Formats: sequence, structure tokens, C-alpha cells
Amino acid sequence: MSVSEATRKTAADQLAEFIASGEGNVTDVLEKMKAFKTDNGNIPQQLRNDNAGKYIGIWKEDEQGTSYIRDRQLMPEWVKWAGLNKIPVSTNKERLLLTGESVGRGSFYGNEYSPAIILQHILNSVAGHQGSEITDLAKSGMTPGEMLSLLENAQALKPSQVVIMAGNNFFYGLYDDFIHGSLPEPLAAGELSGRRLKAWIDEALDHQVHVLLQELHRMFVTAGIPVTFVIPAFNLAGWKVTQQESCTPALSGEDLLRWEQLLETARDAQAQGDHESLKKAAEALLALDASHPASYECLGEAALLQHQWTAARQYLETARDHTLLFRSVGKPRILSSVRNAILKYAPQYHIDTIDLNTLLAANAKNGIPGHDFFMDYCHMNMKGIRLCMVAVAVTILHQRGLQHISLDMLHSYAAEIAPPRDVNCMAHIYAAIHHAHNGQGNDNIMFHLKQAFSFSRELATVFCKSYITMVTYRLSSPLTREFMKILENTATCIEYYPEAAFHPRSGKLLDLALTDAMSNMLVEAGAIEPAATAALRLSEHAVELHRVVDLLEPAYSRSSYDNYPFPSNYYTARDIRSSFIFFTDARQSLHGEMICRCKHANNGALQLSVNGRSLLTQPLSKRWIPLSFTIDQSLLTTGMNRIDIIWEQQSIDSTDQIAENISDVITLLNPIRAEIHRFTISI
Amino acid sequence: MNILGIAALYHDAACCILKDGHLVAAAQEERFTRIKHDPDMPYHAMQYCLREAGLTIADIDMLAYYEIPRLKLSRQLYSGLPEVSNEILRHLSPDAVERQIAEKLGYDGPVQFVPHHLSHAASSFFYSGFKESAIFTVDGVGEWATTTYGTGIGKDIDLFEEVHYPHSIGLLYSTITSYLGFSVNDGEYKVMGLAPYGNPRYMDCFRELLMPGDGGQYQLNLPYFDFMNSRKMYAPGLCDLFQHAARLPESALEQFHKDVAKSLQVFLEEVLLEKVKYLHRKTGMENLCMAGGVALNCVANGRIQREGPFRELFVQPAANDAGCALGAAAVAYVTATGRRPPEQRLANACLGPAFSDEEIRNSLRGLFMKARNFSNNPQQLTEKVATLLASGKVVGWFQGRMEFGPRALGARSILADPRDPDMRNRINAMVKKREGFRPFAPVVLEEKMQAHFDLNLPSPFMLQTCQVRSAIDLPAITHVDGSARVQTVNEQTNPALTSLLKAFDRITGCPILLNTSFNVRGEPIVCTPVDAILCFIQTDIDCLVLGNYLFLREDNNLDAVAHIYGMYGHQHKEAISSQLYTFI
Repeated sequence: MSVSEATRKTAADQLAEFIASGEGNVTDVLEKMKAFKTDNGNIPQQLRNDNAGKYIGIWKEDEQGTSYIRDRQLMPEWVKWAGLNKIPVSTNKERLLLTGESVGRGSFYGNEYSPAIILQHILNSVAGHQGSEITDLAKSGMTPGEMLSLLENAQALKPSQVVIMAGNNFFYGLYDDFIHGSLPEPLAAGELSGRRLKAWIDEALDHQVHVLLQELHRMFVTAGIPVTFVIPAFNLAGWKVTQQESCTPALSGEDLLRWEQLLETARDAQAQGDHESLKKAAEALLALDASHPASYECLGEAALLQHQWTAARQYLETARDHTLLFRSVGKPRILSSVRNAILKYAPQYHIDTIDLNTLLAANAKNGIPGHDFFMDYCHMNMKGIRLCMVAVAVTILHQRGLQHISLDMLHSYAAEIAPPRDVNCMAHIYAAIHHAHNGQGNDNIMFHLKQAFSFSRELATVFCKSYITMVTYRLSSPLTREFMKILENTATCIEYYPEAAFHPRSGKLLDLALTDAMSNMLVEAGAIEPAATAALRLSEHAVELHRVVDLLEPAYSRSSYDNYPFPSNYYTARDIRSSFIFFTDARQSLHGEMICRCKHANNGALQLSVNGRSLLTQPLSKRWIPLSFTIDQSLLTTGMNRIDIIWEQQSIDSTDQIAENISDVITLLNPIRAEIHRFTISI
Repeated sequence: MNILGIAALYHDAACCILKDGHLVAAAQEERFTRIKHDPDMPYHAMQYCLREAGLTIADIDMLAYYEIPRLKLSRQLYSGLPEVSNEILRHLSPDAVERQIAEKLGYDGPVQFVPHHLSHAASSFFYSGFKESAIFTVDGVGEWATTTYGTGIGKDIDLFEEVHYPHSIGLLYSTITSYLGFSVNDGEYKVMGLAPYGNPRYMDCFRELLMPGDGGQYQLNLPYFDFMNSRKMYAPGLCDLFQHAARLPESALEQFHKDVAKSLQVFLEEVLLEKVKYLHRKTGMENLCMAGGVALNCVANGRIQREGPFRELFVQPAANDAGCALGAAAVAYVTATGRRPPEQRLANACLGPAFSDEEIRNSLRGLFMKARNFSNNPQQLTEKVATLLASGKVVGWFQGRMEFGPRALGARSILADPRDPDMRNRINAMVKKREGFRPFAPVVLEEKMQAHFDLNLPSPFMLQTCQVRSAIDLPAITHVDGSARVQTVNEQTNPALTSLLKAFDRITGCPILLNTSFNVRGEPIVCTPVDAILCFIQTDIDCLVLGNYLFLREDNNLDAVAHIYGMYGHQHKEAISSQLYTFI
């Protein structure tokens, strides 16, 4: 139906009125809009992408069409890809495309040591130097959609085989359409649970995997090009559930108090090696919320204490599977649903699979892989990469009809390449930083620092000294003198992990756990005085120096980048505990000011303590209220001081709320306990 | 009575605060987030305004928002029918604005929604100092209005006539901007700067594109435009009309493009002059207040001032949407108190954050660069900087409160010697990293303006052009047609820059400096000392003055850090589409 502009205007006005009235939903409005289709509606669905085929990742086709050259305009993206400057379209060797996520890049080793390098070496050692050319198209942070687009264009390189190393990032593809997707029918808050959300997530991931494998089949398998899918594994023994992932669940009243007590009991029991109490507390936690990763992790730890390896593995896998429920930003990991879907669909599409989960379990102590194979949650160390690439080589050689190669021989080829000691040293330091920035505790940080010092005590000492000073400054790290020292020392290879210095804008952390661990290593090495780091922090951050300190700055209110994935501009507490730090010379009393509210909870109150001593208890309002308090000098400590707040509340005000889409579900399952608009300490 | 004024969710989000009617602070969100034209709810700008006013969110009595969401929704739906997707619809709800105010700003008190063009009008009239004035607002589009005519008398504003979307002279300008290969909402200045290189050969084409109507009305010839389909600004017919394909971004500029730019500019000036005359006939008033994005066209403003019927013209320095925050807040004040805001004429556009020497020192502790400290002798710094400028150095100048609005007016500026014939090319290429044809503006001591420029009244906000008539050869700031976009300064409004100009005048006999915004292409103007340092590192600026600290490039090796920042540092971010005026 064609309509005039005047009718169109009237229609728009009526629709606006209808939407504003709140009487209809989106579907109703879309239905109404169909009635107003004009002649102008006949427009192509999508504008043509003029660049299709011109780019393969960061490489742009040259004018002759003979090579793809790394595009300087995309220089900020280079760090995510292999250090190839040029990819010729034709090669006289058998070309194998290796693509995937950061697990395929070999994180922390830069371009010195990667899966592609090891695989190429193994294959060439078997077949001589004319054997294979591995074209490394893996990219840190690659999503399934990106991978398909890349591979669509990469067909121009005429590969004879394709290897995919992916699966850790698939969850992150759900942040777009999935979380805005409508539920089959609106659900009341009481009908929601983490378990229900997880079922929807698993279903969406299954579909995502199916589409991906279907496309790989269309692009390559049907053309006679074998595809091998390497399913990554997770650092089950080493990578722990973070504080954000352990955030207080959506419980009310007595259950909330009980949850807090049980978690504390469990943590204490774990520290004391009391597996009985740990297991008992964990089971009680599980009864309160069956979707919380902390409960499963506690059960796993209890099983480990009892040497019940199979049970421990199952619990730790379940903990892993329950972390990514939009409670925190989290870090990439292979979820059981993704692994199972790949294993389910791959045979249908004639795609070979290598399951690192199984491979590493078979080679790990007690069947639970940890730091012996991993640099962090999913990125492998040298041992892990070698093991994995030998398995890939076996599959590749089988696909080429070479079926009788000695496994020992392949392992010996893989072991012929190793990065220099300095590169190993820095890889472990960067892994330590990565652990700290992502909410891991002292054990993990110290493990990697010790590894780094064992590879090169001198380089680790120089770097850690500079790093402590660099991050302690309030100034953006890359503008500091210490960063210049790191940059000028080429052995630090800062380009392998620039995130060590390039923090988010206005998001610099103080890295207390990390710099404490570094300090301890340096003190032990006799490189600094024991009190040096504390003195540096005080000289840089003292309230007396700045007169007013904003405690909502990340340096004073956060300990890692593992935060709630949908951040607010101001401080929102989803846990019932909040902590802040500040620094003072403690020569005078200080003044605190806070604007806070408890909009979503009934009968809220806050308990505020300074350095463990109670300072005030205050009822909270649903409206912003100002709180003003004095911290007496007697409560202060020279150096770092800590403010702890417990947000007390009787019940969350969500019982009558309805979830219409996944986004609503996430919000209702992660209720806001309190909000702070301003929080300062001043002299 | 504490009122927050907010403009957001379109482009150039901004916040201001009125304390008992007095304008205490105003800033654009982009300056804090470093996302050019950031349209998001201006949380960071709001926090700054609250701090500056010594208030908290709990102290705010009213929030004034710069448009009516329900009316805008109607126009948005009209633009998008019938291709609006499920996803877009979810964001189109008129409740979305109130929800975002509550969620993103944390404000849960009363909100007054003020019509977009009334916000524009108020942003000019209530800060003009005029007791009564005609008011003319022209922009791309508000809710439905694209052009309005009205009067302001005391506390009352009456907009008596409107031109409605899709007929918009602002959108005509943006469409041609896009056709000429520049970014919409950003490249309009480039078209204005390109125009003097061309000849008005295509006036007939423009008369085909926009047809006059009765009174203040006019109409676009819609088949030549495609912006309603949300794909691009112009329809294929436009290329046929000019018998020339659209220019690809970054491709060579030919004489044709310059001629189109010139024709557009002349046509705009003619239309605006005609409409201003109409407004004068209708109101009989002596003063004119202008606002809206089109009012940033300083060449047209200059002609309206010189050739128009009004005795005096006031253009508010943030005449674009950012300035609507000021207008909305003023309207809310009038509604709440029944009184006009007590502001006299806005004397100074520096309404943003300032940094004392102590704050600069504390925020840069640990900096790898060497600086010279003149805290004990600021006059010596002034003399030193004047000497550096006279010797051909380019200076980043960071002093006092940041400007509100798109112009750098001597608080966050890059300064240079206007007499140097190579200076324009050097700054365009090495410092600003932008197109070589673009002109630079002069800043001149107010007391000596008439000796060098054809100006009768001070021009504190750089919002009109005039002819250069100086005995000094000023190639770096004189455009190809002999014009310049002049800013005048005096001791009261900018003492630091006035001192510098005097010192430069003493050394060179020239009381004029080249003045351009302190940023690089694709980035907002710098806000903080750290922003200034980053801009200094990544450009070819020779010296940086931060308060009373002087950084010299020759004292510092910046190459390595500039390179690594290029690799891993922040990337330029554009918050809005550069191909299309975003209607939905």
C-alpha cells in the first residue's frame, strides 16, 4: 500500500501516541507499522560491502592481487594477530590455514612462540622444508562471526587444510542479540533462576556452534578441504572463581545472611584443610542457589582434599560452567555446552576434532590440568602448546595419508623450539599481571612471579621495580618515567602484553595484590627495602597531598577488571559488602562525605567501618541522602586504610517485577543492593 | 533553586548547572570521555558541573531536558517508517529518556522537557543581555521544527512560526557536506572553509534544491534527498543535478567541489538574509538572537551582521545542540520562579574545568617529560612564550577554565605566529593532521582590532568573519578571499591570553596570534593536563604551556612514546555516524 507524506506523518503521530500510552508491545507496534508501507520501502536489505574479499583480517589485497599486505591503517589491531607482513596468494607448498582465538595465538610469548610456529616446525621436520606453509590467521578476541567472515575471504588463499582453535569466546557472542531476545512468555521474578538462565544460554550456544560448523562444511569440506577443530581446555586446577563471580546471589532475608555465613565457613574450612566442614558448607550453599559457581568450587576443593579426583574434576567443571552467567565480565573459557555441541555436530559435517580436555586430562597429574599446561585460564604454556600441536600434527598427517609417524619423534620435533629465557621470564610476569587484573589471588600471582624469577632474576627484578612505581603513580602508566625505562629495555617485550601498561582510560588500578607480591619477591632478592612500596603509595596517594580523594576512582574502589558486565556510571553494589581504600599520614582526623541510596531494597541500612572498627550505622533511603562523618585520628593508620561497608537489607524489592527478555532476567538475578553517587575523603 | 540543563542522545551531549539562575558551569560530555560528539547521557559533564557548583545530585531541584521525547518519537517514526526494526523500536520509547536520566545520571527528581528549538532560542536570548530581541533558530532538526522565528521580551519567548522536517536548510547543508565527501555533523566547517576557493557557479542547482515559501517557510525538493531512508543523505538525482558523482572521502578536491561549496555558502547566506529580513519585518525589533547549528556558520553571521536589518546580533558560543542545555535550564528557571535568569550578556564561554598549578603538578607526578616551572614568575613565562611564538614555534596553550562550545577561545588553544607564510600548512599537516585548505582564525587584542580587521564590535566568540585590513601581512590567518574569523580578547575575559598578545605585540609589533583548537583531527578539544600532554606527544607542537609550566619538545624525546601510543593507546572514536544525520 502506498501512502502520501501527510498520511505518513499522521501515522507516525498515531504510532508515537500508541507507544507512549504503553498499551502495546513492540510486536503490536511493528504490526501497525506494516500498514504504512510507502513506495520508498523497496530498498535493498543490506548495502553491498565494497571491501568484501579485499581484506583477510588485517591484511589487504595489493593492487596486483598477488599478495595480502598488512594494512598500516589497522596498526592498532596488529597486536591481536600474527606478525606476518605479507601473505602471498599462491605458494608452492601445501598451505594450512590455522585460525581461531587467542588460544591459537599463544598469548604472552608474542610472536616468539606460537602454535603455528610449532606446528610448522613439526610438519616441516616430518616432510622436509618443502612440506607445509602454515598461514597463521588466529586473532586474540576472535568471535565466531568474525571467524566466518575471515574464512570466507581466506578461501582466496586456496588452503589444502584448515585448523580451527576456538570455543573459548563463543559465550561473548551472546552479548548482542541473545541478551535482548524476548522470553517465550513474560516471567515473574519468582520464577527466575540461574539454572533457568543457564539452560537458555546453553541452548543459544548449541545453536551458535551448529551454524559455525555448518558454514565450515559449506566453505571447505564440500570443496574437499579437510577441517580440524581443536576444542580448547580450561585450567581447572589453577584458575579460581573470582570475587565478582562469587557475588551475593539474589536471596532475601534469612537466606542472605545464611549464605554469607556459609561462604565464610567454607572459606575458613578450605584454608584449614577441613574437607568435612568444607563439603558440608558447600552443600548447604548449593541448596540455597544451585547456579552459583562458588558452591561447586568449594565442593571441588573438598574433593581435592580427599583425593577424589574424578569428583573434583566434575565439580570444578561445573563451577567453570556456572561462572559465565553474566555475573561478571569473566574471562574466556570452554563451556561444557560448547564442547558437547562441537563433539555432537562435527561428525555430521565431516569435521575432525581434537578435544584438549581429554588430551590434557590424560597427561595431567590426577587428570586435572593446571599450571603445568596453562599460563592462565585457557592460554597454554610451552608444554601445553607442544602437546596440543603434536596432536594436531598427527591429525594433519593422517589427512595427508601419512599414518605411521612415531609419536615420540613428533614430540622431539616439537621440543626443538623454545623461546629465549628472557621471553619466558616476561611471559610469566605478564601472566602474573593478567591473573591479578582478572581477580586471581596471591597463589596464582606468586606462581608466575617465581617462574619469571627462575628464568631471569635480573630481568624480573628490573621490570618489577619499574612496574611497582609505574602503577603506583596516579598518572596514566604509559606517561610515567618508569614506563620509559620498560620501553627502552627491549628485553621486556612490552609489545607482547601492552595491557600491562595501557589500562582503560580513567580505569587505572593500584594493583595492590600484584605489587605486594612483586615487592615480596624483590625484598627476598635484596633489591628493595621492605617498606619501600608502602612508602611510595603513601607519598603518591595521601589525602593530605590531594586534599580531597574520590574513593569511587577505580584505584580506591576496585581490585581487578573483573566487574559486572553492564557497568553503571556511578558505584553500584551488587554484593552486600563494599570496600574502599585510602592513604593518609594519620596525623589528623579526616572527613568523609557520601551520597548514597538503597533504591531497590526495603529497610536498608549501612554499617561502615574503618580498619575493622565500626564507625557508623545508618538507615538508608530510596532517595539519595548525604552522609557526612569524621574519621578520628585514632582510627587511622599511617599508609593504607580500609573502609568496609555492609549493606544490610531485609528484602529485595523485585517480587512484583516481570522479566520480558534475557536482559531483564540478568538484572533481576543480580539485584543492586545500594548505590553511591559520590564518596570522598578530605582533610 | 538548582537546575541541571541536559542535552543528550543525539549528538554533542552537554550539561550545565544554574544556581539560583546563575550559570555556574557547562561542559560537553565528549571532553571527558574523549569520544568526539559523544551523545550519551552526560554523566561526566554533570559530575563536573556539580563539583564546580559545590553541590551533589541530592541538591538538584529540577532537571531540564532539551527536547520533547514524545514529539521527537513521532518524527523519528516518520523518518523510519516502515523499516524500523524491533531493536530500534525498543530504544524509541518516549520513556527511554526518563529511564536514561534515572539510570545513567542517577537523577530521580522532577524533569521538565523543553522543546528543542525553544531550548535553542532560550540559550541565545537569555544570555544575550537584550531586554527584547527577535529570535531566529536554524538547525538540522529538533522534534519536528528545523527553523523557527520568534521574539523574546523579558522572561517570555514566543516562537510564532516554524518550518518543519523534512524541510531544513541545515539538512541541505549537511547533505551537500556529505556529497562533497566530508562527515556529516562535523565536516560542515570544512565546506565553509572550502567555499572561498570556489565560484558560485551552481546557484541554479541550489534554487532547484530549496524553494522559497511564504513568510518564513521554504521547502526542500525531496526527490534529491535520501536522508529519510536512513542510508545516506543524498539521492542519485542530486548527482544528476550537479552532473557529477559524489566525492569519495579523502579523495582529491577538484575545482568542481570548491564551486559547489561556494555556491552552497552563498545560497545559504541569501536564504538566511531573506529570512532575517522577514523576521525583522514581522517583529520590528532592533536586536537579533540566533542559535542552532547553522548559527555556527560565521561567514553567514558576518553577512547578517553587516547586511541584515538588525542593529545588533548575538550568537551564543555553543549555538549547536550542546548549547540547548543552557536554554532548557533557563526555561525551567523561568517556569519555576516566574523570573528571567539574572544573567547579563554572556561575557565568557569558559565555563568548564580549570586546573591550578598545584593540581597540574599533582596530576602529573611521575611524568617522563621535563618541564620548566614559572610558578614564581608568570610574567617571565608570558615573555618566554611570546619569544618562542615570535621565533616561529607552535604553542599548545592550556590556561584556566575550558571553553563551552565547539570553539577554542584561548583556554585550550594552539597558538602560532600569523605572519609566517608557512605556518598554515605546517599546522594543518603536522599538528592538526587535517586538510591543507582549511583556514585558521586570528585572536586579536580587542583594543587594536579595528586597526587590523573590518570590525565595529568585539567578537569574543569567534562567530563571524570580516575582512582583514591590517598593514601587517598575515598569511596564516587570512583566507583566500581576504577574510578572517576573528576572536577579540580583553583583560577582563582572558587576562592570560591578553598578556601574551601584548608581549607578542611588544616583540613583533603584531597584536594578533593564530588560534586554533587544541586537538588533533578526530579528537575532542583537550580537557585535562593529561589530555594536553597526550596531544602534545602525538603532534608536532613545539611547546606546551600548562598553567605556569612550560614543556619544550627540544627538552624531551617523544618519538618512542608517540609510536607506542599510536600502536596501543586510545583510538579515535566517533560516537555518531559520519555518513548520515542520525534521525532514528
